[in-house]
Amino acid sequence: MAVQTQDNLHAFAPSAERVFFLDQRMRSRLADSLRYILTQGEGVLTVPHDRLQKFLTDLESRPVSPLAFSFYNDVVLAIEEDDVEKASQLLTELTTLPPRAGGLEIIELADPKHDAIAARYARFLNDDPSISFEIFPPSKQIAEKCRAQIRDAFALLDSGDPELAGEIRALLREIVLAAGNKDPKAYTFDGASSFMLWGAIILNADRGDGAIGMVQMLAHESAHNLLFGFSADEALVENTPDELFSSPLRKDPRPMDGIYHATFVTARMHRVVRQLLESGILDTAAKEKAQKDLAENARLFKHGIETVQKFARLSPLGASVMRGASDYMAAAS
Amino acid sequence: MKNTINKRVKLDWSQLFGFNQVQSAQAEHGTKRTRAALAAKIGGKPGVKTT
Repeated sequence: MAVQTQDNLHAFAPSAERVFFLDQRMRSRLADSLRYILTQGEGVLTVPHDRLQKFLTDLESRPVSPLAFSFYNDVVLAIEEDDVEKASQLLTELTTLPPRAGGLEIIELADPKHDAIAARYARFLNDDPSISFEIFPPSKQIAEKCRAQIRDAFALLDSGDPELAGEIRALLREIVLAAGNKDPKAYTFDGASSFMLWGAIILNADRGDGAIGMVQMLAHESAHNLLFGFSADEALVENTPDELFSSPLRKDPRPMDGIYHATFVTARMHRVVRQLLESGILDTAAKEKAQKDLAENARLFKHGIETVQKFARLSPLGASVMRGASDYMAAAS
Repeated sequence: MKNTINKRVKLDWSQLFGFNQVQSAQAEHGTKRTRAALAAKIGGKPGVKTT
């Protein structure tokens, strides 16, 4: 693995190479924290030690299910509630997660009402008590259509932006297809990611914006994961979560961490659309949509970066990462 | 550091991956809502949220 410097590790341009480093670091940090929990819980937590040791060894040597991070999250919260029985049970369940062969899998969400894993995904995407939205399994027809869009999107990326295609494949273990509430008065979602589901993205499979739209959705959600990887050891934003600001991508005011993410991912969406336009591979209809989306992404970035510049308290890392996005947008306009 | 007095297992959140980004004053509340950096990033185009 190539040595990562601060410059190439946090560069705005996509790179699969640095993602291998980020993934290894995320798994290593998870293993360290689990070992710390086991040490602190010695004599109190009841866990299958041999199985857990094997899990930790595997965790440090190869890609792991995104669910592993979610189980760790729940172990910490169970201990926080002094529920050591639940923490022990969760640690035991963690050791039963199947090993990952590597590569990107597209899976369909099961019904969260009847399936514990589906319920876990739904819970991690719905952790903001100020809003609540429903998440359902997609119909077979919608899921098939979405799989075709993803295939078409990767075909475009492989031809027009192979660096991003490589980075997305390195970042993501799972694309989970789901469906939202169709009631026009209900909250719904286009896509979602979570730090504690590192390597997974959840997409609303009921989409009508074709391959160009899917390219941007993959660029968007994978960029959230990239930022999670950057922030393994250091926060990007130092504003408190109860400070809320106008978001470029949501109507409801959001914490600065969310504004920061939205602004960065919008620049990444702009970049991929520009790459595809410059590659010359788009047909007339796709080019027309791409040009429209390019302008919209530039507008949304401007909205976001103004809020970040005015109100954000960024860590040195956060400032450096956003400078890369800003420099790209300035050069592109 | 998270207050773990009277807990059977004492955890220092500064030692915990992800949780070490939770600011100590907010960590005292012990709610998931305080963990902005760890919260899900749910997005879409403007207008998705219709209520």
